[in-house]
Amino acid sequence: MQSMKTILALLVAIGAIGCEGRIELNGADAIDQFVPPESQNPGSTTEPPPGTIMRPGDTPVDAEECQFIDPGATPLRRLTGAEYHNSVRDVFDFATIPTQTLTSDERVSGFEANTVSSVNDLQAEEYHRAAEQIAEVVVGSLDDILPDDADETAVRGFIAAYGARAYRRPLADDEVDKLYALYDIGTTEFDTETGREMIVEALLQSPTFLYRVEVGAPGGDPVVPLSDFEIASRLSYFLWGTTPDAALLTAAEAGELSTPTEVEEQARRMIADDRARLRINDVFAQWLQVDGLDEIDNPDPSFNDDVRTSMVDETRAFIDHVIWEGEGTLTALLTADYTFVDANTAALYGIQGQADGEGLVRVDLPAGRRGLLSQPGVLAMHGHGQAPVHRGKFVRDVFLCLSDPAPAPPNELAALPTFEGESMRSKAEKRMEARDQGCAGCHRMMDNVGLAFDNFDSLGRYRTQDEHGNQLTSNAEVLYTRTTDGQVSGATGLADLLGSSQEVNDCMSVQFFRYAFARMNGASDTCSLHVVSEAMAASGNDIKEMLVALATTDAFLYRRNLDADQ
Amino acid sequence: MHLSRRNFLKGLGATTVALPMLPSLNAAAQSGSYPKRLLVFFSANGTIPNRWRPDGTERNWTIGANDILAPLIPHQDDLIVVEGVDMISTRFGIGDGHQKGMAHMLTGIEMLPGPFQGGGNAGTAGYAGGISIDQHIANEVHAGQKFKSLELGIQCGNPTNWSRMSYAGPDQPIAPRTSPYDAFDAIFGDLTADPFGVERLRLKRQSVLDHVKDDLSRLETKVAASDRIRLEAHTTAIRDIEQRLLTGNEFGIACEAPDMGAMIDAGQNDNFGPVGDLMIDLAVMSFACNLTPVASIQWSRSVSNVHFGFAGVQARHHDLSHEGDDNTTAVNQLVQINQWYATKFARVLERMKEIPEGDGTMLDNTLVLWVNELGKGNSHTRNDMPFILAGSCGGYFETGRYLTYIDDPHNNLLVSLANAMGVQTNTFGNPNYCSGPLTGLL
Repeated sequence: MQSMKTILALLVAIGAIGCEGRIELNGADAIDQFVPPESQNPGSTTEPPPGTIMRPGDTPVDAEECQFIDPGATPLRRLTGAEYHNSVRDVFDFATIPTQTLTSDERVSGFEANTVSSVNDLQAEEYHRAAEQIAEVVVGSLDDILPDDADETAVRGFIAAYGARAYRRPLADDEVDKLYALYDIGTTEFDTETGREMIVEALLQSPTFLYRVEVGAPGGDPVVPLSDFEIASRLSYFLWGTTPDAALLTAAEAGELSTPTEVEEQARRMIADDRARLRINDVFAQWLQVDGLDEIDNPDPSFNDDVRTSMVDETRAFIDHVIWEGEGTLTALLTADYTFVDANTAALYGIQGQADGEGLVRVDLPAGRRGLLSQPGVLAMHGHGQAPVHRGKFVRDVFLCLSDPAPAPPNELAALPTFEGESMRSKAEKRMEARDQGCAGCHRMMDNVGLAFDNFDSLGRYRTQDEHGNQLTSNAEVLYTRTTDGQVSGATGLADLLGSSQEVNDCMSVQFFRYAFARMNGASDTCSLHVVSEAMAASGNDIKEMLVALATTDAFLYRRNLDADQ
Repeated sequence: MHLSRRNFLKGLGATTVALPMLPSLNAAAQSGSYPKRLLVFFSANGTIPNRWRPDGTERNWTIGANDILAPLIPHQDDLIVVEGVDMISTRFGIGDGHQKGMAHMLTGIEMLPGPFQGGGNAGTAGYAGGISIDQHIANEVHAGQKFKSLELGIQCGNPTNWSRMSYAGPDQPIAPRTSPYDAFDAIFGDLTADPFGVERLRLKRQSVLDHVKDDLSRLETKVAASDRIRLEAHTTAIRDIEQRLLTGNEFGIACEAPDMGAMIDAGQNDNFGPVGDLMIDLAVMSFACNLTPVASIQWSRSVSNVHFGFAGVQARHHDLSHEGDDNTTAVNQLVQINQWYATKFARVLERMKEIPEGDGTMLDNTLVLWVNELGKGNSHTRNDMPFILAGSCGGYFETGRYLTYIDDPHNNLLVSLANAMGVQTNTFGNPNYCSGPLTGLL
């Protein structure tokens, strides 16, 4: 049979493929290829190749360059499932909207984004089915909104008013005409109800509703400001996860969302509203992967759906408290000495007599625990299989913005010998020493951190020996960061190290930047990120100030001209 | 609402286990030619090669009684075991091992840039860089069936390049349907029988979808070029669903919808098998009713971490797959997991063999392909892929064979699939990694 090697040899010979054409791209030299972060050249001003993950501080801030506005790329976003549901609820706030099943969202850096793949058959079908079901309910609830005998003017008024809510901007005359024509067909051929349903179905399947279209101001400038209505939408989805409220639409109509000061004012109003609390809590849950616990199954007899729910409840209640009633900082999230437990989670902590029922009770943490990272839900989420790898990778990805390889080694690897009854630490040490097999480079970064949690089992219970009787220790080390390197003892030591790190706080800004703009950050975002970093530093790393700062960055207020943004 | 639709079908005598001759294919039966079908079956995380490999030569081979393919022993005459084919394309381009395996598996082309943070120092990667073979074949052979293709999956996870294998084009992953009940409704449920209702729905759908398509085309001028492609794909999707939303099912009385039983949670780990069984029935019945020429069943996703307690393995698949070859417990557990998948593959073949078509069965007119994104779990190799074909595809392939290759690119196998399905081509994916159909397969 014909060998591919022959073909490749030919191609290489004629120069069709370069050095990449070698047959064995291998992992054996991954350790040699591995470049520790600090050795990267921070003075480089050239845009790195696509796909490069930018960490805080990778590109120096050039004050002169920051006088020019560069908002970076603006991918076209399709509403996430949550945004779709919230928007429908708020557009037709007079009806009780049934929940719809939509295909799960595409994520960027953990955040629901929907920026890359296209709507395919299944999703078009879902949108269609949802629109039909919602329209039926909406039209059945129109009593006080649009009387049965409403005339053309009234129907056009309905289209204009609710269309503006759905499209997040006033409708053009011809848009109203088109929707009215649709209504007319249904009404003439069948009945008013059919015509009205068709209006709602068309609105809900319209790309103007499903996508967040941002054109910006007209003109040929390479960078253009977003329109006031586009800013209203940005603010609303960023902080509330839903369609703009009347105040935002009114401000947009009046042209009062054109300056950073005006935008800041609205952002502060919105952050003070409970809708921000719900949305931002969800965003934290996405960032911290709390929502992933749904997919975690654990054969431990102490684990069941109830316990899983309790774990999520604890972490969500804790996040909610720290941000909205407590210190409002990432440091507190990482190092707080309290949490909120019910009977299920209290049992995992070994806390007795304080939480007996389903309700959450605030308790002081037992020794050896601090903050979010030692909560059972977080430990269980990453506590399966080779837990030090998963837990270490989680910390590095999420809090240090150092995306280490996952979930797979890059290339072909020889498997390491392992034996039954071997401790996690011993297996981790083998991985970290296996330079020949190409394991060490990446596993030294991950496992060394994850070992800080060695004393916690797969459900986050504290223990001093594992199921094989191996004694456990939790000394660990953070390596290859910019300013957060250090040896630590256990989860508390790690929490203290991370909690006091500006690099970690800046990473949070980067993560929320990725959330705000539904894309990875690039070199052109250096100035926008610098603004956020300064606001953070000035406010003692206050999370709400980070949100306000993000809403007033160039990246938020402008876009590249459509023709330039490929 | 869903339940009532199912009951409606059941009321017409649609509940059944035994499958009689299906009238929708009567015409085909009379002309003596049945449509060819393709079913892609995916399981994740590589195999254990020395427990997967049969013994013997091309026409004289055996499957070990304790090996992974043991559940397929009764079907040996219908199989072609293809050993030694490499996914050479995955040696190129961006992406981590699993990402590449998944994205290249059916496309044979490098991945595009994108936001998914993957392995190594490669940074981020996007989706596959081209159309997948199942979709290419579907585009070519689709002849008026309700669906061009049906993508069914079991707990496939969020859309990422680790979880999508079918592509309508570059960066256009196709989400599998993961709710068997919603899939049932889409496939077998549709317009009601009330004539007034049917006419009303037709009018609404025709007018509203036309309106939406018009909105989409107006919007295309207001987005960047790269996003325009997404809106065009959205329009195509609406066109695809339009026809089936408007026509309804003519087969309602004659064709047999599978019995879905009591509703279970399709996302629950322990329902992995039962949901998969439903998906198998849906795929096979969609073929039987001539509702689609192409289907796929995607079990979980690459890096699958399904917990196989239900199969007697107290561990998660991906965690286990990283264990070393010397960990005999882990190796045996991985064999058990892959055997479990083999029983599901066998179930597909059994279901197809229950449906008579001409002198044979549906399997004789079908090509079933079992794919995996890796060759072996703990090395993440994309060499020596465990490809298995079943069914002769209307007599195109001689089955009951065990073929061994050295270094042949998997793009060649993809070309052979197309040819078997009647799609003439000499190359697929990136032509740099393709030299024509896989030699010796015919």
